[in-house]
Amino acid sequence: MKQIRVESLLASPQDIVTFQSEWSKGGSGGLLLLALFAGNVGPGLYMMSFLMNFTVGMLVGFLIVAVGYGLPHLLFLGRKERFWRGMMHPDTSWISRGFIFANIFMGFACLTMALGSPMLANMIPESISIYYNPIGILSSVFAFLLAMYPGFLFASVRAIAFWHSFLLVPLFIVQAFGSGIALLLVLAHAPGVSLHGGEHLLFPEAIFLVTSALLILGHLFFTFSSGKAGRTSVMRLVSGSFKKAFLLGALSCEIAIPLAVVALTFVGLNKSMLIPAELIQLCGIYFFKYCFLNAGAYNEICSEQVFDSIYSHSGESRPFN
Amino acid sequence: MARYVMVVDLEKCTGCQTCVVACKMWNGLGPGIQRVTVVEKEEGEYPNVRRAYIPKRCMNCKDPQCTKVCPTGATKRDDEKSVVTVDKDKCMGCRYCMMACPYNARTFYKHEQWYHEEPSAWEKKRYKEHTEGVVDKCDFCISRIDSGLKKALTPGVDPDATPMCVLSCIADALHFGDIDDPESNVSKIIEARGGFRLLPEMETDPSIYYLPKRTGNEADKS
Repeated sequence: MKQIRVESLLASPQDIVTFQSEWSKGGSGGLLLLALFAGNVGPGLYMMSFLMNFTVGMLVGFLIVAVGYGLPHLLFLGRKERFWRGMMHPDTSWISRGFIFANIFMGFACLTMALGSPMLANMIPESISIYYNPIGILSSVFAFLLAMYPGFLFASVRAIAFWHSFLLVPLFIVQAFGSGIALLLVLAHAPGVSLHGGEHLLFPEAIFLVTSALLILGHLFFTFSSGKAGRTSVMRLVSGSFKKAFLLGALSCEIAIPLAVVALTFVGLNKSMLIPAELIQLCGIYFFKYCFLNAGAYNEICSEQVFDSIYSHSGESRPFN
Repeated sequence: MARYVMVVDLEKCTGCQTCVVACKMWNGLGPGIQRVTVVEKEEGEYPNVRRAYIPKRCMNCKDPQCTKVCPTGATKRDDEKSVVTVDKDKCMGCRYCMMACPYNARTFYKHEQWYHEEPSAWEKKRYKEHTEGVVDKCDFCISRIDSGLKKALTPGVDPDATPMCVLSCIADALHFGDIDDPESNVSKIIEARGGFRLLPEMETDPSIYYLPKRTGNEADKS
């Protein structure tokens, strides 16, 4: 029996606020979510590890960027063989800029780790190894740019009110540092690994968590008051289909639980829960990115004003009055 | 240099979707790919209701967001004709343009599909012109405009140089032409009846004008 595909062409779509789906639904949406998460955690871990002179953390941060950020992005593309074209327009496109930041970061990070590697110490002349710090600083600068650029990328999308907010730039930076510290503290507790001065990271971690909470609340308030699309996006997160993922997954796991545990650890009351709390924080950041992508809604095309324009020249506000 | 625009007379549009089907047929678009959508807008409660059909397609903006965000340069604006096109040999399928388009007027061409078990002769012929994994959008049937101009035809006046949806409209609700030419049909219509564009706050300077509804007397006079 022959099957015929039927499309609902004749069913006119009602004009409502529609959520974007290309960057959130299905397998490709999952790849982008993974890349967004890794593009935040990886550079954060690398920067904090370089600051703490923690080679294992730098290596893991580099690998997260290379495998968790680069590979999913490549697999997400519709025409993977043309990925190199992605760097052609850094003058206007944030994707091009991010592509360039990622590649330069990986280059400098490789050099830094090679110069700092104890295994290669005998093979590298001293006249070259003195460049460890300058090259390390350069790699950290590009790690910072890599963590920051998705904020600009989303903020530049005027069509989607929930993304069109410059609070995203500081938010993504703060989340990168916060998640970097979280993963660094987890790695420091791995067998055979030692980190000096890890306890000094608790105070900045608490600062990053509080800042992150304030920025998220500010972003929700800003987008809620931006119009119908922004309101719909926020309502989807706080009372709609993504309520559990956002309130429990993102806000509780990313902010509330880690902040409580860090505060208890900081005053010396409870240290055993620190590592689970840092892992929960990483899950929370993943949930935040998931909710963030899924809450992106296009502005209403035929708004109330448009409808008024349609009837404006007829001299009648209600045709059947 | 010309600036081709489309004029949609909302008074005449009946929401019949002939333009949608004509576009799909002419461009050989498979299932799930649609360059034109007729949005239905309804408001109020009986007997105080308002209703309109608003055909929506790529607005081929003069200052488009999509060209700015495209990382490969595949999406670009043809300044000669004021049409935004996608170079299917350059697009890498990142879909940033789909996010940036305020009119949500782009579709991602995932993979080849057809309506029956096997592709028809027409589908076989036309589907070859599409590339999988890239973004698709309305380009005002630029191939028809180009071939028409080569034959010294006038887009919007001569059928062979006019977009297929405009030709197919059963209610004469769609008009096409060069707005920079004061003698063109679209210039005269807009001058006579005004018109508005969607999402002006986005400052993209779209190339589709919508004509508002008129009272019965105004319509009769015309």
